[in-house]
Amino acid sequence: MDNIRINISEFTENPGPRYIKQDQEGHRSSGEAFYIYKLNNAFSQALREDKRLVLYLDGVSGYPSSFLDEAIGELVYDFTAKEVKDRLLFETSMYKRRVSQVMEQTLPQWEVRRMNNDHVVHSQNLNVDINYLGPSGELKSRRL
Amino acid sequence: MIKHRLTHIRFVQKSNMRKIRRRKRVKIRLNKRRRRKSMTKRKKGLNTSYIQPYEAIAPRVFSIKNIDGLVKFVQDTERYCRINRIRILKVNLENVVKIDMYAISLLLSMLNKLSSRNINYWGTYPNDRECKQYIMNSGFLNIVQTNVKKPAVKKTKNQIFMIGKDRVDTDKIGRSVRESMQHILGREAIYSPVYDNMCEISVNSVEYANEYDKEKNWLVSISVEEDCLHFILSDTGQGILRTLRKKKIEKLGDVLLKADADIIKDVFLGKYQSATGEINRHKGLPMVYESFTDGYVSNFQILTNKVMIDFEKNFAIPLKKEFNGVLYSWTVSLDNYNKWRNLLDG
Repeated sequence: MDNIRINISEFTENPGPRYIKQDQEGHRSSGEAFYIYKLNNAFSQALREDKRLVLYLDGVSGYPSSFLDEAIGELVYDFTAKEVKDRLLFETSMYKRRVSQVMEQTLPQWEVRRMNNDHVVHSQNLNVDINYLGPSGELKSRRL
Repeated sequence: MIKHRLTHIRFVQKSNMRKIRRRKRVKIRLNKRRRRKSMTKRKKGLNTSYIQPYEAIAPRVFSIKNIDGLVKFVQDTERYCRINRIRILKVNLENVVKIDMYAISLLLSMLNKLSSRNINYWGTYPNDRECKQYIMNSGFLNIVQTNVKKPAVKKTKNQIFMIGKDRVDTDKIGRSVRESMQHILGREAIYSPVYDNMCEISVNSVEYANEYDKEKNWLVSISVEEDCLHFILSDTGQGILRTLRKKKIEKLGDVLLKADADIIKDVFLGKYQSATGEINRHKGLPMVYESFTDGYVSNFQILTNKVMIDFEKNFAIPLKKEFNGVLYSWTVSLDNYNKWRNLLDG
């Protein structure tokens, strides 16, 4: 399978809080921003073209737990844990522990939230369309 | 005859108008007099404290070694200003003979909180020269205005800054960590355990301590001490114990069986659910503790509510007075950094 590659350091050098509303105005360093403006589109593309998505984690100051939890967690919520496990790869030499935490905790926890149809909090006034996997496996879109 | 009557009516009307106008003038004069009287009464003596400055006198040992005195000073000052609606505060540090970054951080946090309530403050430096110099080198002058001439060239490598009230400035955190590592390594460098800790704590403060608190306030201090860096993060929220949301059964058990220190330790071990109740939350503080157990930071201490815990020396001090807020403190040395690098390279 071919790969699509995303370098997180090109989105932000200082990954930060969970939500856009917690971030400095005009900044994009939250997990929610990374998911909405980068990760969601890239994963959708990977699905459409039957490719894998590789996330390159190095080159940033660090990863607060909420950044990856929100970004990857929302990916699981919209596309299911199975799709994420099959298609998402991590490339890192500095943040292997973070990757383990995502695989062992974030993925199963958000899968439970998806199954329970939990409400996912978003910052207000986003006016952005994001993709998700419908019940019969087709790609759909909804507005935040 | 009719003419005469009309004239009378006109004169009566005019006379009535004159009476009405006269009555209005008398009313206005009376109201003015009443207002003047009540102003004089207020000025004379019932409550003039809001225009009188309150002098908060710091204890002689204004440091972590006198933790009870330090917390008492901060809490009493804040409480007095709130209850008596103080508008001007004088902070008297003249008697101080011992001071450290804990005291400076808590003092600045308190002053920032009070200034958000429109309380004007000013103060006096310690008479002790060493203490005065310590304050000036601490980075204190970056936060408060002073009539002491600032040195032309920045001598101190310390950093003190307020990150923001209800938002996290990760760019500033990243920059400050990279700059501070220069002292240990001789060059700027990423050090993710500290960056992660600072972000976790800041986000925690924004989300839980300050969410419904109008006086949002948190402060970062990075000071250079001999061969290591000393990080202090403090906020003036509710403290960990008060903001902790616990299940009812656990709460009963904790109240009956557990000391505050044990509850705080369990928070860092991830034993309590997040205040939001979501299952994917509450990873932040356990990660902060992990950075200490892994050896990436040392001398990890926490001061919150009625307890101060030193995880390095494994002891807890119960406080006589409750501290509303949280203070985190840890140090980073070259050993810590090398441990982290060895893990990456290994």
